[in-house]
Amino acid sequence: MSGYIEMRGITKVYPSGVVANKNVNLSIEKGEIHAIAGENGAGKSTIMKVLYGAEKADGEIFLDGRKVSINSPRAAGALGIGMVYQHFMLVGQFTAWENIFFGIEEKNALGVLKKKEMIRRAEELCEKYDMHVDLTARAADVSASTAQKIEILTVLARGAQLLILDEPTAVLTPQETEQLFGQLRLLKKSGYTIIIITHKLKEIMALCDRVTIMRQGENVGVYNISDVSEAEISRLMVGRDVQMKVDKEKAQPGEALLTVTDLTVRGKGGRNAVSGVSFSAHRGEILCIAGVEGNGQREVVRSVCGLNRKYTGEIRFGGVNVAGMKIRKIRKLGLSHIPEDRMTTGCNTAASICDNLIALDYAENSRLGFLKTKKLRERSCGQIADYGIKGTLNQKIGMLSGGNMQKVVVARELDSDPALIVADQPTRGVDIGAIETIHKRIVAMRDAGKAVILVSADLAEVFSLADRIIVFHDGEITADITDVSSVDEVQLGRYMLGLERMEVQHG
Amino acid sequence: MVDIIDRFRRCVSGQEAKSVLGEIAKTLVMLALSLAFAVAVILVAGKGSFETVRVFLTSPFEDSYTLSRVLTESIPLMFTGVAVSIMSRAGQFNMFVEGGFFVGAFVAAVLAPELASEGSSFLVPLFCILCGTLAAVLIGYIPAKLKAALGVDEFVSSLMLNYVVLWVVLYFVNNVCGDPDNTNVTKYLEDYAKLPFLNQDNELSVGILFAVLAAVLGALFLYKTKWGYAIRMTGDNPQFASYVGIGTGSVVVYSQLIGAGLSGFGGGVYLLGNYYRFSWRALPNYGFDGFVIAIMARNNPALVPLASLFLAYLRVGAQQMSLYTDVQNEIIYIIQGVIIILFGAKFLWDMKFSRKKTEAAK
Amino acid sequence: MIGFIFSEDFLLSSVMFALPIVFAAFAALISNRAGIVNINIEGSMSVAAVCGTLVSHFTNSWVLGLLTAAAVGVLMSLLLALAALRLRTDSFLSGIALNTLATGLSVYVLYAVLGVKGDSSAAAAVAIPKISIPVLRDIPVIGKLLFDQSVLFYVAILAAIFLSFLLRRTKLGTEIKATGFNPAVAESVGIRTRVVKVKALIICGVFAGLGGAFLSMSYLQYFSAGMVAGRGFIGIAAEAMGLGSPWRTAFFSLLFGAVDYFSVGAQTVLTFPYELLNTLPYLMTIAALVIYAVINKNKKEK
Repeated sequence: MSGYIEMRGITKVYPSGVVANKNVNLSIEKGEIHAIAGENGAGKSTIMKVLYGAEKADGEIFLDGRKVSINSPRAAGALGIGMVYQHFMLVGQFTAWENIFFGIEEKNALGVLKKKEMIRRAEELCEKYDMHVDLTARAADVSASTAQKIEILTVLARGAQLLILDEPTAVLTPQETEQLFGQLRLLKKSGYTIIIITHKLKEIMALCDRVTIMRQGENVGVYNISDVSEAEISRLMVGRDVQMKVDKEKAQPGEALLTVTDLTVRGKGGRNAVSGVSFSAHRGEILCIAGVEGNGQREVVRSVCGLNRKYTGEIRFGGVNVAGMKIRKIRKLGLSHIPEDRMTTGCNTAASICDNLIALDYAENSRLGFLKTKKLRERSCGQIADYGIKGTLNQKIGMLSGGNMQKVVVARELDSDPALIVADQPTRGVDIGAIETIHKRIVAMRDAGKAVILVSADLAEVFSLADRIIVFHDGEITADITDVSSVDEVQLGRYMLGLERMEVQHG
Repeated sequence: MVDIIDRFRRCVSGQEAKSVLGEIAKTLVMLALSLAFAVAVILVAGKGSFETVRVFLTSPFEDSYTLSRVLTESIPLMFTGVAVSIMSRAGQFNMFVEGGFFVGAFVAAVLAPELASEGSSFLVPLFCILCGTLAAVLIGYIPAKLKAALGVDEFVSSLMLNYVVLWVVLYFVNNVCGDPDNTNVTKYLEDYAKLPFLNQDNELSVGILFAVLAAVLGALFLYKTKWGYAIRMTGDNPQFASYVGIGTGSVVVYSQLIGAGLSGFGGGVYLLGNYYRFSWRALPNYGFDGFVIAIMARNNPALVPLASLFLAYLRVGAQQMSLYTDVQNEIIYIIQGVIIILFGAKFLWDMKFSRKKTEAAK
Repeated sequence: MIGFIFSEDFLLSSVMFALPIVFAAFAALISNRAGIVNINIEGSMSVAAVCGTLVSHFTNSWVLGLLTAAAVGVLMSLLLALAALRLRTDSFLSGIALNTLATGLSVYVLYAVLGVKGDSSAAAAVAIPKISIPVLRDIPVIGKLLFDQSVLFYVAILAAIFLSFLLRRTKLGTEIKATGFNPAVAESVGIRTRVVKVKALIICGVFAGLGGAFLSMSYLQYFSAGMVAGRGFIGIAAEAMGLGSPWRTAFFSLLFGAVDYFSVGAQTVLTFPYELLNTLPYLMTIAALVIYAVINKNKKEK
C-alpha cells in the first residue's frame, strides 16, 4: 500500500542525545484528517517537523510514491506541505494581510509591492474558507483564535495541499474549537489533507478519520477511528492505563494566608486583564486556578509574586499588604514561586545546577560577603539526590532535560521553607516520572500545612490535585468550587468559557 | 605536566575534564591563530621582511628592559580588563572604562606634585590614586544610575560621557591646573611623587603588583562573594535574577561603579608609575583595550593577567618593530580587532576537535 | 548671541554639520531594522574618509573619491557581516573590534600612501561640489538652504525618500523588517535572514561611507586622525530617537548638527572656553537619551 505521504525509518537524535524518533514509519492518505496522538515528549511534534523540513533526520519520505528530500520549510512548501505551529509564526508588527503574503508577496519587476492586489486576494481566501478576520489589524493585537485563522490562511495562500496543525486547540475555547473543526471539515471536503497533532482523545474521536499513536519516539499503532475506543488509544499512548490519581487525604484547610481583594490589572490595549478579582488561599489546601490560558491567570500570579506592581486592589500575605514590596521581601514573608517558563524565568540556563539551587538564600549563607561555598555545595548535593535530579553540581543546567530542569526549580522553591507555594503550570512539558515527583511534593507541602496555589491548564492535573477550584474567564472568577467532586469536566468547561457563573462567595 | 593533568582529572568528572582541556586547547589554537594573523599582516600589508617578523616576535624577550616594558604595558590592560570583565559579567556594556582611566590619571597627576614632597611616604601617591578612583566612581555613577532608573542604554551614554570627560579635563589642564612653565601639560612628577619602582633601571613600578592584585581580588569577588553571584546571575538572565529576588537595579549600578573605580585606579597607577606628567590630548584607547582583554580572558578576571601579558607582548613587539624597521605599530590595532573577533567567535568555540586530536593534546 | 542663532549662516552651517550625522543615523537605521546592532559606523566612516580623500586627490576626481568611500564603507560592513554572521561573534563585540581595527587601519593607510601619520593636508582632496540652481537660490531664507547645497545634501534627501520607500513598499523592505522583528518567522517562510542582513549591511555601509566622505571631502578637504569624533555614535543616538522612521531620524540628526555647530560657531561670538563648548553635542546626546527614556517609560506605565 502506498499512501499520499509515506515516511519510512525516520530516526531523529538531538545533539543532546535525546532520541526523539526511533525508526518511525508513517502513512497518510489523501483527503483524510489524520491524528498523531501521544503524550508530551512522545516525538509527535518532531516527526511532523521532519515532514515539514524544520528538522533534519535519517530516513526516507515519499510523496505520491515518489521519493522526496525535504530540507527546509521552503522545500516542504514547494511540495504543498504547510504547518501551523503551536506557537504562532506571525510577525506581530505586521498586519494580517502582510502576514498572509509574507514571503510570497505580489510585486512588480522592481520589487515594489502590489498592496491592493494582495488585500483583494486575502479577502477572497477568507470568503472561500469561511474564516473572517480583520485583514488590517496587527497580528500582535488579535486574539489567539484569530491568529490561528491567519496562520491557516497563510498556509493556504502558499498553495498547501497538506496542512499540519500542532495542538491547534490548546489556545481555543470549546466553542472556538467547534468552529475550527467545522472549517477543517470544510477544507477536507475541498480535497485538502489534514494532520493534527494532539493528545486530546475527545477531539481525535470527534474529528479524525485515522489516528497514529506514538510513544517514546516510536509508532505504536495506526487505527481507523471507527475501530478503536478512547480507552484503547489512551492505553497505547501511556503504555499502561491512565492513572493520574494522586494519593492524598482530604484537605484540612486552616487560616487564610493570602487574601486578594478586588484585584484589577490593566492589560494590553487598555482592556483589563484582571478585573476586580477577590479570593484567598488557605493553609493546608491546594487552591487551583483553572481556566483557558490568557484569561488573567498570568497577571494574577505575577501580581501576587511581586513581578507586576501595577495593579489596583489589595494583596495581603499573612496580614501584610505587599503593594510595592520588593520581591526579596515578599519571598522573605514565605512566598515560593514555580514559574510557568523554566527556560526564561525559572532557571539561569547558563549557570551550574549548584548556582541555580542556591539562588534564594545565597546572601544569608555568606560571611562578610563571602559565600559559604562548602555548606551550600553540600546542601545542593543533598537536593540532587533527594529529588533524583540526573546531573552533577557543576553541570550547566541548560544541558538537562525539561523534567530534570524543572526538578531543580521545584527543589529550590520547595526547600526554601515557604508558607505559600505558587505553582504555575509546574508539570508542563515534563516526563511522567518527574510529574509524579512534583505532584507528590506539592501534596506533601499541603499536608505540612502550607498554602498552595496551583495554576494549570491541564484539567487532569486540576482534578487530581485540587482541593478547591476557582475558575477564571476573561479576567473574572466565574466559579469558586469548594467541593471538587461535585463538578465534572463538562461543567468546569462551561465556567471556563463564561457560559455559566457561580455565585462567588468571597472568603 | 602529565602528573598535574592526572590529578586534575581525578578531581572532576571525565566529561568536565575533557571540556576544560578542550577549552585550553582551543585557547592555545586561537592564540596561535592571532599570532599567525599578525605575522601575515606584517608580511603582506606591511611589506615586511622575515627579519621584521623576527623583531616583532623575539624583541620583547631580548633584554630585561624590553621584558619590563612588557610588564609595564600590561598594567593598564589588567586594570581595564578586570573592569570590563566584571561589567560584562553583569551584562553591562559600559565604555566609561576609557573616561574613568583618563580622569583617574588626571586627578592623580594633579594632586601628586602638590601633596608629595621630598621624603614623603609612598602612601601619598597612593592617596592621590585613590582620589582619582573616587572621581571616576562619581562620574561613572551617571551612566550606571541612568541605566538602572530609566533604562538609558549605557553604551551610548558612557561613550558620550567619555568625550565630555575628555574636554572637561583638557579645559582644566589648559586653564586651571596645568604646569605654569609649560602649556597643555600638568606639572612634572619628581621621583618622590611617583609610585615606588620595583626596578629603577627599567622603570618598572609597583603598579604591576597592584594590577595582579586587582585581578586576583576581581576573581574572588566574582566567584566567591554574594555580590559576585548576583552579578553573574543578573548578567546571564536578568529575568531569572529579579524573579529570585536579586535587586537587579543595584547590581547594574554597583557593577558599573566597580568598573569605573578599577579603571580610575588603573589610570592613576599608570600615570604615577610610568609617566612624568599628564600630557594626553586625546582619549588613549585603554578602555577599548579592556574589551580585548576581557574577551580573551572570557570575562574571568583570573585569566586577565595572562591575556594582558600576551597583548602587551604583541605591543612591545610592534613598537620595537616600528623602531627598527619601516612597519608602523598602528598594525597592532588591526591585530587587536582581529583578536576580539576570533576570541568572540562562537563559530570557532563550537567547533568540535576530533577525538584523536584531543587525545593527542593530552 | 541671539542674532548668531537666528542667522542664515547658523541654519546653513547646522545643516552642514548635520549631514555626516544624518548619514551615520541612516546607516544605523537600516542595520537596526534588520536586527543587527552595528556600532562600527564610526570606524567605517573613518576608513572611508581617508580612502575617499586620497583617491580623489590622486585621480583628481571627486566622483571616484566618493564612490571609493562608499565602497570602503560597504567593505567594512561586509567585515562586520563576516564576523557577526559567519563567525558568530556577538555583533556588539564585532563592532568594537572593527572600530579598534579602523583606528589602526585609517592611520596605516595614510602612512602607507603619504608616509605621514597625523593628517592628509599635504594631499588635498578634490572637494565635492555644490549644486547651485540660479534664481531659486535667491529666494530668501530657503533659497540657499535648498538650492545651493553640496551634492551630498541632495543625496541625503534622496536617501531618506529611498529608505522610507524601501521599508514600506518593497519586498526587500518587508524582508528586512521581518528579519528585525521576528527572524524565526522570516526563516519559516523561507527567507534567508543572513542574506537579508547582509543586504541591509551593504546599504548601511554605503551610508557610512558617504558620511565619512562628507567629512574629508566636503567639510574639510583632507583626512585627519580622529576627525569622526564620535559622530558615528551620535548618529546611533539620533536613530534611537527617530524610532526607526527615516524622517524623524533626519530631524533628530539636524538637531544634533545644530548643537554641534553651535559648539564651534559660538566660539567666535562668546568668550567661553572652547573646551567646554566642545562638550555640548555629547551632553545634548545624553540629555536626549534621558528624555527619550523618560517618555518611553511613561508610555509603558500608561
